[in-house]
Amino acid sequence: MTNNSLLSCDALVRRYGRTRALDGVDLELESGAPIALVGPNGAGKTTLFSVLCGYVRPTSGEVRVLGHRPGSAALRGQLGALPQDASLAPRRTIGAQLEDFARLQGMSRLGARSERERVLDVVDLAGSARQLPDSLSHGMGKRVAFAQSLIGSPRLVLLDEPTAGVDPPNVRVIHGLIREMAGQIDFMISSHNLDELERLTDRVVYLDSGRVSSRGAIASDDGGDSQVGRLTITLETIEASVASEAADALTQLDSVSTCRTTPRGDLVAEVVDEDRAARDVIDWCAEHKVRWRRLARGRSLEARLYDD
Amino acid sequence: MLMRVRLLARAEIQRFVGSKRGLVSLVAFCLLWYGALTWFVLPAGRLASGGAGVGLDVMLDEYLGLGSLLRWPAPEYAAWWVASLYLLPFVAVVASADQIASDRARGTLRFLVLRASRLEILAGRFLGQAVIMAAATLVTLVSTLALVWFRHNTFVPNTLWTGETGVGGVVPIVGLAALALWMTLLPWIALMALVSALARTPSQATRYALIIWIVLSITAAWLSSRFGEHLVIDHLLPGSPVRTLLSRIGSEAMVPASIGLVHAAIFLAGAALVMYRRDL
Repeated sequence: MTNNSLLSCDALVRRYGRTRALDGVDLELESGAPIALVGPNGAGKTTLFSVLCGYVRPTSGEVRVLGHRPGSAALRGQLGALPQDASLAPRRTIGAQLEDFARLQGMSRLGARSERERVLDVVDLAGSARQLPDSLSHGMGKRVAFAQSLIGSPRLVLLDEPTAGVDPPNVRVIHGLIREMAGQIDFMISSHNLDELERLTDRVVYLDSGRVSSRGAIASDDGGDSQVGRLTITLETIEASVASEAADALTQLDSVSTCRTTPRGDLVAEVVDEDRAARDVIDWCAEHKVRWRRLARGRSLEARLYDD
Repeated sequence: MLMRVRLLARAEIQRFVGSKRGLVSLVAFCLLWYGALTWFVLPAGRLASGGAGVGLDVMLDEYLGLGSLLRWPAPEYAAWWVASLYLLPFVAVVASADQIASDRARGTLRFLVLRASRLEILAGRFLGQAVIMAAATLVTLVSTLALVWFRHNTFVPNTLWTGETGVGGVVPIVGLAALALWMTLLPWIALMALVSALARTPSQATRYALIIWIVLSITAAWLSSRFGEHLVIDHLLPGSPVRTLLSRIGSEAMVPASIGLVHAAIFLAGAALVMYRRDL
């Protein structure tokens, strides 16, 4: 474990009766870009999240968050979290509760009040301190919950489905905040929404059946420089036959090695020279009157995780 | 740690006052106590001063075995003592039934455990409820004192510390009785902390609370009536010292009431174990 270590799991197991929600998770993550925690339903994402936050105790194995055991006093103020579906007490004002959280973290009365204002201001809800949590929309409630995770400027913030059920304007706000703060705070984001995660990070931990899958262990299989060599083309049409014919035709181009369709309907081309191939693809589309919507370097996160 | 427990206790009081459960408990307590004052405490004074005292003496002493109630310097105090001993534990059970369950169901505990240990949360909630019940005890005491003042134009006895009876003034008699009364409420609050930590939902906690209160009260009353004052019974059930306490006045009540502290400690230890082991 290095000084830069965010969290480490060694043979982590968590059982619920006979079910092994986490079945020997080995993981070592360091500070850096946000980390996406992905996987199908029942993969163990929320259980891992709960173990890291100290909500759930591991059945066996070792876990360290920022070098400390989950739930230990040393993590207070260092670890923030936005648990899925957790909400503030309904009959106390948002400001009073955030202030209490800040004071529990050791701030003075004045410091807590000013911290409350700061975090509400960060999530663009500066005027809502006197409101009751129930008076806010779901999206605004998520933003308030996000605000509580930022109290005391923690080193690491764990976000479990931060945008589930949230409307697009609030999703944009939350995404903007994560991007803005990613330089100062380490984020780990658990989500089913791969498009969302793709916009935020290319560091991915893929969990499947309670284990870290080899396809996703800090996977960007074509991340960094290795992304050169693949293009993803999204056509306007959703007809599979048109996409399939286009893939066959693009494979014939000199700059394209192979081109195939994905289950999502995109075309993924393996190319020798990315810039030249991109120009050739655009020219081919124009010549054959095939309308394209998006041309991107590399493959989508979904393709990386599920198409191989 | 103490600072966090104090903060959590204060938050518990604010949470209680702002919650529906808190309002319902407050209204129920006010109605019940108003009823007790009107139909029990006030008539007790009138009965004693109206010449029915002789028959009352015989009835309390020979038939109910509660002749010691006649030792209270004013009949209103005796009535307050009896009414509170039976009424306040019920109020404590209802008021403190949801120390943990709803916050667990809502996920609010997840925000808290990032900032305080589970034991600190439990201690803070317990302390908050203990303060709430201290306030309720004080309300019954002050209203009774006001009633005594209204009827007798003085507190009886009319001195604060040393009374004519040699037993003491208002403070040692009534004040210490109120303290003993509050001490008997602590095991109920601790029991509800345990129940609330075990329950999955607030309504389940309330159901458990009412069942436990009814079962323990009936069991304690039955055991006491069958075996009389018995140390073992008093040590086993949180409601059992009530029968013993009925025959004590003032500082005499402190010893049986202190059994409540042991009960409270045992229930709190159980609640702490549940809190420590249970997933959030």
